[in-house]
Amino acid sequence: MADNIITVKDLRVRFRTAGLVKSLIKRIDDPFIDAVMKVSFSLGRGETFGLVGESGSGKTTLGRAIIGLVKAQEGSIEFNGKELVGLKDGQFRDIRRNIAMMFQDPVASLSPRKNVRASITEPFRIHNMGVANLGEEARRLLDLVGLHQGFMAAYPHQLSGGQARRVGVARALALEPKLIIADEPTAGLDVSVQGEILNLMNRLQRELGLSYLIITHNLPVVRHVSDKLAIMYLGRFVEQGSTKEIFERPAHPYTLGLLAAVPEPDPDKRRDKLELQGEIPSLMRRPSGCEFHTRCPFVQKKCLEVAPKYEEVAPGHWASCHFPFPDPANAKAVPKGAMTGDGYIPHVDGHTIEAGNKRQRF
Amino acid sequence: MSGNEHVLDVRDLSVSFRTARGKVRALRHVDINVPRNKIVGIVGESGCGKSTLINTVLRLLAPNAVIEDGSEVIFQGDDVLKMSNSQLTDLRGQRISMVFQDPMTALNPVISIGTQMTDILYRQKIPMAQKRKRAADMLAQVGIPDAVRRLDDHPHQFSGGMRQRICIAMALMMNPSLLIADEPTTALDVTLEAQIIHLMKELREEFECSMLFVSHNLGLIAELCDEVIVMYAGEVVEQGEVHDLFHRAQHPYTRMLLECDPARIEETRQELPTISGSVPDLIDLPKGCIFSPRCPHRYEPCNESPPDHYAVSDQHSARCFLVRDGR
Repeated sequence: MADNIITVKDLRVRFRTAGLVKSLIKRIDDPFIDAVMKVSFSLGRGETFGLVGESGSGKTTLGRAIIGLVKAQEGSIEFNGKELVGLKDGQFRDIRRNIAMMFQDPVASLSPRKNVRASITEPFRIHNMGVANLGEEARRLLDLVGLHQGFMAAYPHQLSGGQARRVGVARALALEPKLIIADEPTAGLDVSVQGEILNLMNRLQRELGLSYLIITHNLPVVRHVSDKLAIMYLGRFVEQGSTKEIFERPAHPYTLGLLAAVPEPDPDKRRDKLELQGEIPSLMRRPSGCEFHTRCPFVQKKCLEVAPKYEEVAPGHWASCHFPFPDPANAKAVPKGAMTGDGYIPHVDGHTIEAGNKRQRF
Repeated sequence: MSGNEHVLDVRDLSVSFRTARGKVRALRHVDINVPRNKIVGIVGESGCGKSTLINTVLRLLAPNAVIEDGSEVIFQGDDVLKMSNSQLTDLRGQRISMVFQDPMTALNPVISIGTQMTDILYRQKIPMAQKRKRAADMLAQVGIPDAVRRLDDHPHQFSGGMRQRICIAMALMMNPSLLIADEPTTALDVTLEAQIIHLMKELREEFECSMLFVSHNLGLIAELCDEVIVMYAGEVVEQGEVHDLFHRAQHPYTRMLLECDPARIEETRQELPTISGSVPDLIDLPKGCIFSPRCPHRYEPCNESPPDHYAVSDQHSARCFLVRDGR
């Protein structure tokens, strides 16, 4: 489609584990793990796509695959009409003029030995752009992100988190990219500064027509900036749709769990609601059937055996669950024991299933 | 002795740091207390003095710090500021313990967690087997499955959430009277954060220890704490019971902070509220109220002298002239 800046189809990123953990390989025939498993999405020009999941869900790997920092093995990434999967490292250089990345830690992602001016003009040098007046460009970029010119000579250790983040944004904007991949743009920032950074990103999007891919585990943040959303678990999308739709009618129990995990700033709303038990399983030992069944409070017998299909539950809203929630009222109807869940053992047709809290060793 | 009601009493605490540019007045006249068996939350943004405050309580301040005259930190009847080094050794880890922000850097990567945990019990003259049993029991209590076998594992063999559970177990090994938690969940995912908070609520019932919980996440404070202290630029600007504070916030800073929290804003909007301006320079303080340069409700008295703490109700006070004048 011509109006999409990026279209990803069935993308798969595998990492070799051989030689890393010898003992494990002896037991596993396939010395690979799938960090990203057959993921598809598209992003229109000027739109924002949010990628949400816990650490280890593959969201950062997906972002890095798009910009070519890790190699995708299968599938396709079409950026601006050009196929990216299979490109050589050298060929990626041109692509990176149009895709910029903002890395996770705002201070650590800046070189401690370069001052702000050197950091934000480095992209011009890397791409051999003969810019006549680097100082002029640096001033323009600082202006764009709302930083005082006095910061030009400052080093990263002299900056606050929010200021360092702004420098990161300026650096990403240097080459006038069409797509910015922002990995946890607000992590580690104070609440009032989070708002400032998100407002800045929104303003730049309006002014410059940027598209964003925002990678985060913070649901309240994506709610305000993204048009579309995907929830990742163990390298797969488990739910995808418009942000509004997902917040109003989450279909997958994992999404519901993530939403419930965000504490509300109101002491009257202390939760005894759904709380996801346990942690994300190892990619080396994917659970059978539905991969979320080890932590799902609503697990049924079928979930252990059959992997659910990734299906459309409403127009434009996809989820992979045997028993998706058509509306939130359904979720509330679930028995209370299932919600609090400590050592909760659901009984299904006389079978006992051990849910959550299983020992995981990596 | 005031030890019966309050485990910790901080009175008129002022701490400054000597720097080349001049004296940075990091804490100014801070009065707080932690009642027995209560969880007190300290909330504030970076640079508000949260860390300086807890470092003063444990006397872990940098060498260039100056504790101003008249300051008192009374812990169970003893003034921590007057303690000798050996008394401090006795205090730290035994009577007051701490859970740090990042569990990976708090644990020693080359020593098994069993050894790290039994090391804490060095004061007790009991056989090693018994110490290991204590450690294993403690791990089981914080929800680490198969605790006995996992004692010989090293920190890297545990996931992030598990490591923080271990840190909490270690902090509780000596059954301290006060537990200080410094942003214990910032390094964790939301789901694990919820689990850790849940765990802390359970442990609090079991161990009957008071807690000082430091965070910039308002949601967590609302979830866990009984009393809340809001700090701004080295001062306590508002303190009170958790419901009072969240529902009837008086200080403009507290109100703005609550408005800013993305978790509180339900509808999708493109422009999020922020607090304009920046934290004042703590070397050259404004004459009046510390928040006045950023305050939308500023009026004449704010520029003249700093406000006092004015009571809103029995358990709720705010450092703002609006409260005094009933505006």
